Amino acid sequence: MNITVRNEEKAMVVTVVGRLDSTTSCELEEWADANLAPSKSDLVMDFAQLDYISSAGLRAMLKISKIVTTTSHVFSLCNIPDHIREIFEISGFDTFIPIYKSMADALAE
Amino acid sequence: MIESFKIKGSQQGLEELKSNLERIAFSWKLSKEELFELNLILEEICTNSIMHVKENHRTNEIEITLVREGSLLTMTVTDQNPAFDPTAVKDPDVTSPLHKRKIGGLGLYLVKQYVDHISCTRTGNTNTLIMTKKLNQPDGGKR
Repeated sequence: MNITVRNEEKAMVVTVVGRLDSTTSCELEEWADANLAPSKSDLVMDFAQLDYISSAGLRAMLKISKIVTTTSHVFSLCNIPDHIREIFEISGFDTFIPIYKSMADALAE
Repeated sequence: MIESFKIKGSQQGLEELKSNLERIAFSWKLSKEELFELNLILEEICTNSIMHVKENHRTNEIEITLVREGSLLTMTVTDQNPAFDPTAVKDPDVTSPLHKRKIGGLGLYLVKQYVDHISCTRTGNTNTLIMTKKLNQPDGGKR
C-alpha cells in the first residue's frame, strides 16, 4: 500500500494505491494519526488504484472520518472501483462518507 | 477441482492466504471480482481465527480447503483454537450514524453478505467452518 498526498486549494488529496487489508490498514491509521489530527482542511481520497479493501480498511476509514469531521471538515472518496464501492454500501459507510464519481466532482463540492 | 493449503495462525498467515488465493484464482480462471470476494471472505474468517488464538498457541495453523463443482464453491476452514462460532456473532447496526459507529462485527457481517450458506461445528478441539458460494460462471469468468 502506498499513500501520496498533495494539497489542492480546496482540500488535501490523498491517493491510496494497492491494498487496504489487515496487514496494511494499520499503516494508513498510523499515517492519519501523524498527519491529519487535528484536520485543517477537507480531505478527498482517490481510490482509482485501490485493488482491495476488507473490514480492516473500513476501520481506517472510520478513524479518518472521525478525525476529519471533528473539526467540521468533510472526508470524501472518489474514483472507487465498483467491487470496492459495494463494500461501502453493504456496510452503510456510504451514508456518512460522500462518494463522488471523479476527483473533479469531489473538489467541486 | 480441489485445493487445500495451510497458513500460519498469525498476521504472516494472511500474506500466505493472499498468495495461495492468487495462485488458485489463476489456475481456476476466476475473475478479478471473484478473487476479491474470496480473499475478503477468507481474510475476515482467518483474522477472526487469529484473534482467538491464545498467546501460548501462536504456532497454530489454519487449514483451508476449496472445492469447486461447476459454479458451486465450498470453502472449509478448520483450526484448533478455543471454541468459537462466527455464525452466532450479532450483526452490527449498519444504519447507525458516524458518531455511533463501532467496527466490531463488521468483518463477519461482510462475510455473510458474500456467501450463500455458512455453518460451524466443533468436534473435539477442532472448529470447522463451512461456507458455500455460487460463482458467476461455471467455467471461470472473465479475466
